Amino acid sequence: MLLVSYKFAAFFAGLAVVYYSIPRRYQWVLLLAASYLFYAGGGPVYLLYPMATTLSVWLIARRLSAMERPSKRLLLLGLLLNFGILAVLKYTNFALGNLNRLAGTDYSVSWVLPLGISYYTFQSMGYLIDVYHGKYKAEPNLARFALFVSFFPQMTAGPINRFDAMKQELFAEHRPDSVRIWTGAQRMLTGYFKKLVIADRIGPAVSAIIASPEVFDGPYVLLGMLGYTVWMYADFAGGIDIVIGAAQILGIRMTENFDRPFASRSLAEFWRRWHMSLMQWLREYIFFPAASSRFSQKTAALFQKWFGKKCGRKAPVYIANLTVWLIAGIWHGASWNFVVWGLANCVVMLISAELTGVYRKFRKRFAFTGRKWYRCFEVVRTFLLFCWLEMFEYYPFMTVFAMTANLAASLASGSLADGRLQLLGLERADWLALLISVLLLVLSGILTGEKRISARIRRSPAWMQYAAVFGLFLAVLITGVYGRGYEASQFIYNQF
Amino acid sequence: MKAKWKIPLILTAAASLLLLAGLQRLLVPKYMGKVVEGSFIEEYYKEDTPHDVIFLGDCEVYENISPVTLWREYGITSYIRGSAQQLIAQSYYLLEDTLRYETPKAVVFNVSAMQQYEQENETYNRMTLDGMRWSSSKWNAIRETMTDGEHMLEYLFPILRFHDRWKELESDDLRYFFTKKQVSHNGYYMRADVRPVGNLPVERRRRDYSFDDRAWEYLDRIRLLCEQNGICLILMKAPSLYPAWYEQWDAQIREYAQEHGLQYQNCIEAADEIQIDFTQDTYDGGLHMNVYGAEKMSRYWGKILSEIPGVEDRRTDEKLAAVWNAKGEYYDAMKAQQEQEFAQFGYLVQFYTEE
Repeated sequence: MLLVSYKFAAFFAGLAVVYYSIPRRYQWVLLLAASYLFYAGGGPVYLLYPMATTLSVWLIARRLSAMERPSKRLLLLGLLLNFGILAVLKYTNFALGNLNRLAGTDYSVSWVLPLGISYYTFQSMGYLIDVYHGKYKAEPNLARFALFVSFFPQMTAGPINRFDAMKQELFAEHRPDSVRIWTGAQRMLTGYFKKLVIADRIGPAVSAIIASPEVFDGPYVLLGMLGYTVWMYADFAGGIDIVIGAAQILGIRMTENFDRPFASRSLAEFWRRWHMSLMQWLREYIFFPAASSRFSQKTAALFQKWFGKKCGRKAPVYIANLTVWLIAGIWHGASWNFVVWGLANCVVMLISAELTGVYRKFRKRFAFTGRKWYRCFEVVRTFLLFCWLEMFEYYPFMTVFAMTANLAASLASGSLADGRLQLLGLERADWLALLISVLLLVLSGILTGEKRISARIRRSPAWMQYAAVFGLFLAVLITGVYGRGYEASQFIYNQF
Repeated sequence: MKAKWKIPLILTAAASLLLLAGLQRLLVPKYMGKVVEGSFIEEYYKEDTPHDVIFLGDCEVYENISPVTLWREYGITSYIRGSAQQLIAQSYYLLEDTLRYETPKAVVFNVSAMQQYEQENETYNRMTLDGMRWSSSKWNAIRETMTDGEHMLEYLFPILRFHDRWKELESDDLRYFFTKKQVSHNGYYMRADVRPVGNLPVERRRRDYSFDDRAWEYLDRIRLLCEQNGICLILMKAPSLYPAWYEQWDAQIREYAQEHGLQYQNCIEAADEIQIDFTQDTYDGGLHMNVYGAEKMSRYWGKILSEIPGVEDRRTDEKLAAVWNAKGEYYDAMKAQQEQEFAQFGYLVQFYTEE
């Protein structure tokens, strides 16, 4: 079931009404039934995957919790089993593709990836590791744990939640709260605005640019680069807004996934503010264990011996970072492009970390680095750097550099008004709608600062609140890209 | 809820709904320019006098019969409930819908719709179904004939379907926001241009000449509905030379008519008797009649319909005469204008360029 469909609107509205009408102690049971119903929409067979994860993780976690000294082997069994399912389903074709290239064969499999398998697998594995480390006790009730794994809004695009935080939210009794419902509805509407007005409008145009680098070169590389980032953000953040808003209407607070990432002044900061739940997961369950692993310690000792103390100290951090970004890359897509993209991000951040001292001196030496315009420059620089690194996702490695050179050469002479713009399938009105929408997003980000736009709206007079929300509703209703003539498009992050 | 909130809340809700309704009205197609067929179905509801004869079917009806001529020459009151590519199921529900307002003495159903049960193009569905007033008939018509990907919700709230027209709004959308001009003559689509029959595509043999079972089912339903309401049903095949009306199809309809005691008129066979001149009486090379052909068809049908009990010459009814005279004036004015345009330009301005 698509989040952008009449079916989902009917499903969710019906659910919300029943949810607040039944005895509150059964609310979580209803959510579990609704979640399985939602998931079965793609075919009942797909229910088997989250069910298998639920059962295996629940059993292993219960066993681990009962042990005085939790068995590492049992933990590994749980991890291997579930990451194994994910790896087989998601990466078999990638592995076969590589094998085909080497052996000249032509093997492939046609498996449909269950919706949101990465999200619920990562979430469940986080739970298993936490139980192993004794951060909290295993959940004794299988049905309750099943809800944690399969809570339907998060199945589509995350965020990746922690059990100790979600437990309170999912199993508490929720009374209907008009303010919370109104805020949740606003959040959903904002999500639909990002998805339908921006992402689904710009997506096909960006895809066309990316698919034909030989046609769309010069300034179109820049247009594609910026457009791709806008598309990714509007699609992903839009999906998250819908998910968090829907949960909020049901009285459930979920972890945030974005914190105005485009206001970041460095790439490292950017990655602390973009897809926060995944990055936190990677930090907690990959970075720290990798940095403190026996392999890292041994490597550190060797480096210390060969290159000195300083290098030895840095070795575990390098190993942990490379592991995190390798996983982050492969998580985003089963292709070498994503591996390269992950490693490129890692390399840029490690170089940046190495240059920290230089930056510090530079800032001390030049007073203008404290000025507002310089901070703006840093924000723009980070944004462009992120956009450029995204090119590794969609162009082959060498093409990125060729297209960058091509772009640089055409900056002085190139123009977008050479007829190719019409090949992108957008009318003048579409470009205008895109421009206004993106400007609105940027403005709302600037105006609200640290606070969310919904918080800002809540403080306004009632008529102003209503006018803003109704205006947003009309914008989605009229300028949204939906309905006949358009393919209902899945969220990009659904496939993860 | 506090009383002081009640009034602003109700006012806000009313204003919001009004705004939404206004936007919907603005965005739905008006069918007032090059394509007018989408207006035919809804124009029926403006009628305030009854009709003795109702014609049902697709373009082979609304382009081939002139109700004004039927009135002028025979005093028969009639209306065409037809739209582009109107499916037989839609014709059935339109008949059901018509019976809510009046009970005619005769229904003439054009059988060309038997050859295609399912809609190929959503646009045709919208042109037929959007014009219907809401009733169980409309609901069932939509449900039965929706193409893949269409949603009932988009018929309930057409803004969901036509929202994307914000990019192509034109002066007509404002001009016809409140009221639309009359484009048909009791459902008749007038064309006074002439394009003689040229080379028609060769008839292609078919593997199977049987009609869809569902088409037969709806033909039965039309027949039964007429029987239940004491209406005389006549089957008609318009004199269109293309698409081909195969002998095998004709034989099946003839057999059905015989079996159920219905009259069936194949106007292709009767073309000479009707005096159709395919070099003068068609505006699109033999697919449909122009106004001259439609008037000849109406004269022919007038004779047939006059013999049906209850279908009377009503020209002596003053009230009806006044209404039909006004219709006649509008008809004559449009015909004169089209004739003048065709003589001057060789084409009709409205159908080649937007107004």
